[in-house]
Amino acid sequence: MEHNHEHQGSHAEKYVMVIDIDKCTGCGACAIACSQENNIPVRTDETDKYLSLNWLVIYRITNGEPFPKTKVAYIPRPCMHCDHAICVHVCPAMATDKDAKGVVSQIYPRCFGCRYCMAACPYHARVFNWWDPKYPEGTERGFNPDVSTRMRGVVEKCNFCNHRYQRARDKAITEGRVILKEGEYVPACVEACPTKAMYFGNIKDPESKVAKLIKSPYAFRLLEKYGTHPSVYYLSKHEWVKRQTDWYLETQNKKQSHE
Amino acid sequence: MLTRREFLQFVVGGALGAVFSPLPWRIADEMVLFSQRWTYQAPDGEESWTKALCQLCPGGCGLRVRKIDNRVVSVKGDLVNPINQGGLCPLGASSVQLLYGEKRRVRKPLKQENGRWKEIEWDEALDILAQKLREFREKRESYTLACIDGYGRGLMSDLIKRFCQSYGTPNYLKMPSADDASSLAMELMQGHKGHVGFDLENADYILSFGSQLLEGWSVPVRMQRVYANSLKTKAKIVQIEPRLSDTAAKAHELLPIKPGTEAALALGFAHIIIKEGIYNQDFVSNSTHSFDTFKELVLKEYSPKAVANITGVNINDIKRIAKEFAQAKSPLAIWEKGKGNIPCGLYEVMAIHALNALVGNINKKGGVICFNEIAETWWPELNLDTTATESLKMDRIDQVRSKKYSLATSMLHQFAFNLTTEPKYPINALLIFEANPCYAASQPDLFVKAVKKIPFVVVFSTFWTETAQQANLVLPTPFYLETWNGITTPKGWPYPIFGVSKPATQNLYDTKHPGDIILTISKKISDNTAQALPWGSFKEILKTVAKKIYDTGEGKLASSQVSALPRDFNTMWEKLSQGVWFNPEVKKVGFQTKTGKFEFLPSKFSALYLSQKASLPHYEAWELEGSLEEYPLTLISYETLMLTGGYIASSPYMMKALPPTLLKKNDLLVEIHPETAAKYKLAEGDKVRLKTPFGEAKVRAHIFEGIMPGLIAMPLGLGHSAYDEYLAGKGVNAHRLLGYTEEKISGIATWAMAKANLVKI
Amino acid sequence: MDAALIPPGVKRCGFKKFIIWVSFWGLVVLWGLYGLALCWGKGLNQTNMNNYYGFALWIWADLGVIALGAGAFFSGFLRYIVGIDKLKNIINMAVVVGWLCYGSALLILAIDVGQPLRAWHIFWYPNVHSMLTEVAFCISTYFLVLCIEYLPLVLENIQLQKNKFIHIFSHNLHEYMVIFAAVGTFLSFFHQGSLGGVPGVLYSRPFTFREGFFVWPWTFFLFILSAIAAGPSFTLLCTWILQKVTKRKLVKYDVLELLGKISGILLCVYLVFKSWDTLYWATYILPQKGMTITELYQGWFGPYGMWWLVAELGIFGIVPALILICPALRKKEFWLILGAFFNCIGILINRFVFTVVAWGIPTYPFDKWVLYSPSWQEVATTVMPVALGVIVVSLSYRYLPVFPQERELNP
Ligand SMILES: Nc1nc2c(c(=O)[nH]1)N[C@H]1C(S)=C(S)[C@@H](COP(=O)(O)OP(=O)(O)OC[C@H]3O[C@@H](n4cnc5c(=O)[nH]c(N)nc54)[C@H](O)[C@@H]3O)O[C@H]1N2
Ligand SMILES: Nc1nc2c(c(=O)[nH]1)N[C@H]1C(S)=C(S)[C@@H](COP(=O)(O)OP(=O)(O)OC[C@H]3O[C@@H](n4cnc5c(=O)[nH]c(N)nc54)[C@H](O)[C@@H]3O)O[C@H]1N2
Ligand code: SF4
Ligand code: SF4
Ligand code: SF4
Ligand code: SF4
Ligand code: SF4
Ligand SMILES: [Mo]
Repeated sequence: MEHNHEHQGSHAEKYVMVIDIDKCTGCGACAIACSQENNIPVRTDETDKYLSLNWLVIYRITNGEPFPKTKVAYIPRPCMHCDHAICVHVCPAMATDKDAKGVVSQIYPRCFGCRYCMAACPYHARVFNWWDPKYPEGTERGFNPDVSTRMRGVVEKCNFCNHRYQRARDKAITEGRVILKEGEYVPACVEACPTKAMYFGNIKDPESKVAKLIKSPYAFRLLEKYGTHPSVYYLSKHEWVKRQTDWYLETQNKKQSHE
Repeated sequence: MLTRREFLQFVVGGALGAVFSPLPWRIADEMVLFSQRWTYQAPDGEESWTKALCQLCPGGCGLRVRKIDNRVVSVKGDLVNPINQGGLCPLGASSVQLLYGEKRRVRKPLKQENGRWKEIEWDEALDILAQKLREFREKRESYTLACIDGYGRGLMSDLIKRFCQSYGTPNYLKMPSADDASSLAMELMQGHKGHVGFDLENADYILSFGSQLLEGWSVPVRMQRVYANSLKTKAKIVQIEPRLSDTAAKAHELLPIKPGTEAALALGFAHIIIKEGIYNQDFVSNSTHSFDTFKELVLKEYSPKAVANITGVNINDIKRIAKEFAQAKSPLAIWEKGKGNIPCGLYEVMAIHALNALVGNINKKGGVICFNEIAETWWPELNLDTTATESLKMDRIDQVRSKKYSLATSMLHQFAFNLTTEPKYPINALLIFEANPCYAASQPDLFVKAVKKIPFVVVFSTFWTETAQQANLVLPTPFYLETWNGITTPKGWPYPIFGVSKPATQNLYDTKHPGDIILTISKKISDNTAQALPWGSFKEILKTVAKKIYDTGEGKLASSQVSALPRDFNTMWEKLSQGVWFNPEVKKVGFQTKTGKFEFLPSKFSALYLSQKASLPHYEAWELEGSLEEYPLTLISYETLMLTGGYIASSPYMMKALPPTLLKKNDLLVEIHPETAAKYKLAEGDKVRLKTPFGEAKVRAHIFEGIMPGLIAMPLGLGHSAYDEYLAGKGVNAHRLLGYTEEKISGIATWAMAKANLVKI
Repeated sequence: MDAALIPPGVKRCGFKKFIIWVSFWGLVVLWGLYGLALCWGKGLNQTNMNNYYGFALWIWADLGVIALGAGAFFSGFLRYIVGIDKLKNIINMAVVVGWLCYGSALLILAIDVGQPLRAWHIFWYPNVHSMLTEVAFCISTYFLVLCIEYLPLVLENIQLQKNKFIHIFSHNLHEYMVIFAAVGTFLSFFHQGSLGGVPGVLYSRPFTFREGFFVWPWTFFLFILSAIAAGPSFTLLCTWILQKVTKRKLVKYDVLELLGKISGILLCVYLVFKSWDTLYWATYILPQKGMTITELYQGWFGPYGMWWLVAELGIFGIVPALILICPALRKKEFWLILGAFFNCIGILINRFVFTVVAWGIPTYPFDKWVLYSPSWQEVATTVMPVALGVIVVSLSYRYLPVFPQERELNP
């Protein structure tokens, strides 16, 4: 089937993220930085992970070898900002859209909470506000003014810290530029990462770090076979890591390992 | 009669009428407004950036703080800062939440009267404190004051020590930590009392004896980077640990080991290295002392077979790792369990550090680096009056300096134990500085009992902790973003660092810096204390240290960029309060022992009249409380980056990020190997009663293949009853079950393990 | 007491008995309303849905009742457009059942969305690419059509007919029923199809994804087919139950048999396509996504095991199809009813699989299966429309001339 038209973005900008799984220690700083940056609510009991509201989730996978040969890899997962964003395709109210620079946006006041997008997104990048948002008493004083809080009953997700793009662009425009320089627009998670496992940038700029990284033979994306064309790339030299990031049939498998 | 035409007109007209009347549109419009429920968007304002140094752990990472008008809205890593180089850890990333989390903060001085809290003014609070202390001193009972220093090291710590000295109390205690054994071993083997750093960035073989490198050991941000760096440099990390911690799972190799037998393994490695003659001949013959005695012991008692028996590590692995280690270019053996807070014994540190000596990597690139810090050595001479001198001669309540514990420097466990049994004299007052022993001391219940025996307990605290709740007086201290502060060299850092952090925002509450409090009351207590602590404010102390550093002319400044020291001090101070000073070319301190060499058999031990074996690094099994019949299993503690173990407790966002295999609703899950679980007929999530000689708790089982059979693993950092609803009542405080086990020679108590049993509920 | 309202010439039970009967169902409705109030007042945390289970029992109920309600438009289509005159004897019942089914669906949807007061955003900012937009437009307009179709029947009430205007108005409405039937048929085909499209377009969910024809996945057509196969069975079943409850004959057996026959034939056609679809999916679509069919089921007997497939296509698919196309079996009431019943169960399973089982399947190779069971609030609000349905059918049956053959059959 023909998927809906690929959103190519403008000619000059398309932002992607590259995450080096081998470097990532699963420390979680990125997830906390994201929560702080985006005024994400926190409930007193968040132990049911299926109800927990997180924009960036860190999956833990193992190589399946018995102890003590077990190895662990962490897969930080923001929204993939898919080029074939199934969530955008299905949203009945156009509350989410793929914009020209590659970001899949989410309009909270328009979303009416049908959750079709959640059912559609295979990455579980979308989360629902099952409750009225709640914050530790007093912490409202530390809210980021660039990000509105969200109401109960709507879906939210990572937006590549879009407000940071807007700030950076405003600044660039006052300086008479249209295109941002490398490093002017960096999401909170990328900034926090202590191992520098996350990279972010504009792949339309051939000189950018990300443009080079995605050409690496170790680069891949999650669940590529689903046809969503994510804008988040991963790097790993370990075959066992890669094997768990997409579905393989034994027949395809052989081809894979011959490559 | 209605015609067909009229009927149609009626229907169509009605429909059109409705559509073109304003009514439906008006309703729709109202609905859209109403349905977009009001949610808060913080007001925008003028954006500004300032710098600060994170004080949430001894890391001291550099931060850029974003403010909107007066509100701090985010922190990010400072790229120029050499410590974190732009990175953050979960705790540092939670700074804003911790700053504003109102329920956790102490907001005003509090006095407890008949079990009720009363807010008081600072004048009154300081008068009460100063008057009491003056009273005791005038009665020549200075020694009845005890202080618990939660900083452990650094300027605040030195200030408290100095205060104790000039006041005249020997009862200065620290929160126990792995540093106690490390410092002692360094002093014994190298005669070094200054800073010890590990050049992990340049080591190509890291042998970690249970240090949870990725879970917060040393400086968490640095260690994440050390790991990422090791991928590039191909440095090998070998983790020796009984369970699959994150470090173990990420390390190149994991050697599972019976908990508490690390010393034996280290000596087993030494055995191979010596036997094969692959040690650093040059270093060993020129720079070490008593090698032959050590060699004899090791060859005799720590054959791979014997060691395999003790440790459970495979003989071939012992041989192979020993060779790999000795043949690496810059091998480095490191210790201190968990985050570096869980103590290992003195002999264990000596045994492990002996490996470093065998490969001769002390004060070399990629090795153990020793140096002295200006921040520690600048203090002017102390003149003590007779009150102080006399009082300082009294025995300490915790029996430190007694014959039995001649090596110990601080024993909080004995302090609590003695107070609750038969103290030599009563303690009239206890000052607790930014620490939470009522939660984090071994056997916290015992500690609470001890505290209840003290008539006047003052807690200096930013947070509403378990300990603050036991106080008579709580003195609120500012959060690090609200105050002037300094950082000294972070734990394990290979060269000296000094930094100054200026307030990023005004005090949210009525708080005072603990340094300022000490300086203020010192002037009210006695002339001697006033003279010993002449500075007007803690900021002044920082400035003094900065000036001393400036005077040396050494090192560099990292503020907006890395630069040499400026011409004048004012510029230096300006820049320092926007960054840090650091000196990678620091002069390394060689061996200060009697022999001037690295001593396998420390000559300082001679004063103790120990047997030869007891003077050498050797393995001694921990004498764990309880019988094997009653407690056939072993409980071990572990740490994780999302949980902090002490005074600064995990933020709500960190609690949110805990995995469901650790906490389920309010129930803690403990790790159990499938075989052990099968023996006890346990399935995932089953409720069990976990018992140790120290206590018991209801927990749930998490069946986990990544742990050795016969062990149960439990994280430190849960089971709070204070702070806020995001923390209180969740899980179990592991200290209540782990109790402590004391190493006879050093008086060091560890909470790394305890005997245990399980009963299915 | 209410004798004046009862259609002339028919017998109804005593008023007291009727009130007790209605009150019982009224209590069930109250229970549902309580659940509804909780969901609206406190939010969807009252359900057992979660971020993996964004669609659950309610969506199943919606798709289920709409499929079962297909009897209305399809009978209308056969009667008014194809011209099978015999169906006029049951068309009213079909309309009542259809109206109820669609009403229920709308009601449940209104509880299901996170921000019910914004539900109209779907019309305000419609995304023409979204199957849900298509569904929303078609269902709501078709519900209007059903109201219009229901209206003449309501106006047939003996007391209302005394009013001259109403009398003439309803007479005129009757004249236009063909148009409404046609519009209804068109809309219904679309939304039955687009409901199939809802899971079918999800190329990110290999379990429900189907390729298709033009802009529609094959599920679009399969849903239409299965709905028109099951709808008549459900009308038949409802009528039969009503006969049992009222202990009166309401339509002639040949009418029911006709419905059964229609169902049977369509079910056979459906099963042919569905089998082909399943085969194509298992052997072509899934391998493309790197999967095997077994990876999408929890073994044979797990909560989401292969048994769902066997139940849907075998026991509640082929079995009722064989029963209903076999004239000899259809003649026997037991078999006819069993066939119709199995047919309805089969379609409910089909909708369940597509709307509930689908989300339990891990999307990542390293992820776990997720189980879901509804909370009482979800159950209550799902049962509520059934109770409401019983009440509406009871009222309609009591006060409106629903069955033209009733007088003749109960002299
Ligand atoms: N950089 C930095 N400094 C700080 C703070 C900070 O956040 N960052 N915060 C302050 C606070 S709040 C705290 S909690 C304290 C923490 O204090 P830190 O300055 O971080 O020092 P420690 O963690 O006590 O110990 C650091 C290492 O030094 C070695 N060491 C310590 N004492 C001795 C000794 O006497 N002899 C020898 N040979 N070695 C020794 C030990 O091996 C130990 O691993 O520091 C204060 N200073
Ligand atoms: N044993 C001992 N106890 C102490 C002190 C001491 O020096 N030694 N000092 C007292 C004082 S002054 C203070 S300020 C407090 C310090 O607070 P504590 O929480 O008791 O411990 P610290 O080791 O001083 O520093 C915080 C710990 O958090 C870890 N950490 C850093 N980042 C993260 C993170 O993102 N996640 C998690 N989970 N952990 C992180 C660090 O490795 C460090 O071990 O402790 C008090 N108690
Ligand atoms: S990851 Fe999910 S939410 Fe994000 S763009 Fe892709 S489909 Fe949409
Ligand atoms: S939940 Fe909101 S964003 Fe998602 S599909 Fe529905 S209206 Fe669109
Ligand atoms: S890009 Fe921004 S919104 Fe997305 S995960 Fe990272 S911090 Fe969160
Ligand atoms: S901050 Fe970096 S290292 Fe830590 S979990 Fe995130 S990506 Fe991994
Ligand atoms: S490592 Fe320590 S100092 Fe650095 S950000 Fe984390 S808590 Fe703060
Ligand atoms: Mo501290």
